Amino acid sequence: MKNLKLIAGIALLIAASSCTKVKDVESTPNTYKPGSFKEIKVADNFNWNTTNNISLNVQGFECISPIRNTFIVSSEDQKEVYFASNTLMSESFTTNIDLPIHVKKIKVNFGTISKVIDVNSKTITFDYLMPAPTDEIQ
Amino acid sequence: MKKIAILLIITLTGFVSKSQTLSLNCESGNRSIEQGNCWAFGSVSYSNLEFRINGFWSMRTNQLTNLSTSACWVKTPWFKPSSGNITMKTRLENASGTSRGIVFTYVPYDANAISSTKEGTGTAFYTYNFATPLDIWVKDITVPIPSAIANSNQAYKIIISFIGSGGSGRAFADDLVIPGTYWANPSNNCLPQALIVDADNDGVQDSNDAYPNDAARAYNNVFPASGYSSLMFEDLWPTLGDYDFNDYVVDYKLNRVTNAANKVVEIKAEFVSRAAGASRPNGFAFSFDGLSGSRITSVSGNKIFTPNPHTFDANGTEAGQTDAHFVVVSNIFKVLIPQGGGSGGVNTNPTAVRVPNDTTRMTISFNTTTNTTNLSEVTLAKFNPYLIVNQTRGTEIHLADKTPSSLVNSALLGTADDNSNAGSNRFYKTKNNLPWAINVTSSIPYMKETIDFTKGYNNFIDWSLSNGTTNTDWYLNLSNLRDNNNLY
Repeated sequence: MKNLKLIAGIALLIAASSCTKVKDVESTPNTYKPGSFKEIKVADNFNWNTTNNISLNVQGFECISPIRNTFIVSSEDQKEVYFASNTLMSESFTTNIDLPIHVKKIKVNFGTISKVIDVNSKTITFDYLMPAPTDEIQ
Repeated sequence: MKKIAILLIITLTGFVSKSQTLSLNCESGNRSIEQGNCWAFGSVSYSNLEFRINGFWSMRTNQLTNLSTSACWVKTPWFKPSSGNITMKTRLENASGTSRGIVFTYVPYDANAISSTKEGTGTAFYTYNFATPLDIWVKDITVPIPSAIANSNQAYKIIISFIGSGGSGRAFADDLVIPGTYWANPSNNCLPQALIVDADNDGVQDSNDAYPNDAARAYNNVFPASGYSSLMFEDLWPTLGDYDFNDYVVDYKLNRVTNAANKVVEIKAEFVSRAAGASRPNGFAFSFDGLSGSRITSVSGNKIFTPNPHTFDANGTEAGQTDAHFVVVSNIFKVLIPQGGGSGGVNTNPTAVRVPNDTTRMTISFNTTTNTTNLSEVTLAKFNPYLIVNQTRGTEIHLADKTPSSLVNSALLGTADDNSNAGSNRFYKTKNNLPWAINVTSSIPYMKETIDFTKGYNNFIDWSLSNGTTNTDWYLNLSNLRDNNNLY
């Protein structure tokens, strides 16, 4: 009985010490909290700006006749316009757009053609095609 | 040579033919392509099954168990019909069923129609009935364009409806050709093309033209898209300062005006000097990386005081520079005048007299005939604002990793706390990568004198430690993000 208690005690001690170790390792990055600006350490490539320069690739659409309109990139609510250009629908082009870093979606309008696109990478693609209807029974 | 000539003729013929007829051969294999050109489909898909008629793809209807013309149909875009014949190939998928047919209907444009498509009342003008007993062989259908609409110069659509009774067989169709001129506008709800209202005749319709009566200008491209951005400087470089980032605080807005050819005509820049928590008479300037002075025809509105450390070329850009550099204010203390006759500490101590903000409105005009400039050359990513310290032209303080000008005293780079290394394009950062200036996309309150920047913005440290992946809204005016007690 005495031996059993001793073994259980040792096991508990080992378990407790191993838990502590794991906790230490995991919590190290989170406990580093600079007290002032001077104490901050960031990576070489850190961008201190609060803007996100994205590349928007526009895939032109070959129309039966040339269609020209204003290509507008805006916030989702269209209150902030980030880019506007006079564009031929058949023209493919790439443009760089500066977005505030908190912007996660943009809206693209070309006349009545309109799409909301997620800003989830530095390169975003837009095309004019809309999804086909799903009313067919195959 | 003969082959080239034949090819040219075919190409030209194809082009002319394309503009004079509507055709649908389904070979895109993707109805979205045709829908992009304003075709419409109702219970008709594209199929490459063995019963396809020509090429790799044909149209295939749903089961034809309905005599209604609104069950299975294909609708053309708006077009102006000319005279001639509509031609189409069709076949049935199997021979079962009582009857099968195809109804051709024309639909006029009706500006007063309630529907967004502005389709008027349709008129069925031809019905093709498959001969009974039904079979599966390909039929060539020829349907004359009705004289009522041919060459009318009015916009019409044609609806081709597939009908049937008995059985469950479907129909295939292919190689539809209709004489007429395409007249739909995919960028305007597929409504008919119309003469655009364009008062200055620059090719941008007035509803989209920010300058409808000025052919030289069309669009405003403003950064930030609303309000102002804030630039905040520490001015002790190459030595670390107190990081209150208020030695110079300036808000800015850049409107890059472009013309109908999307070339930059001018930049209307506004700089609002808000605070100068410095003891030295600094200046403020900017450039766009890689933008040559030869692109610029004039600079106006900047504030140059004497004595000043600058000389200028005839176009108003600073002389002796590789890129075009624009001096905004040569001495900030001349626009934010220190109170009490001393120098320094303007608008950073809440108990001191507040000096009104000063706005400098500059206009930078660009060459628009030759040596033109695209919007992509004057983006925020290329915007390079900087402080010129204590009227010493060679002492510049830029945003992190922004290149100094040709006139910088390069002997200062990499000294004291600065860890710049021109060889690796590393500029204006400490060894821990801290900057001497920050650029925030919104106008934000700045710190009271000597209070550390992190004491005003509660999530700034977490944002920076996450390498910019979390707390990206640290600068917004949202609850719990700011400590207003420490902000001016």
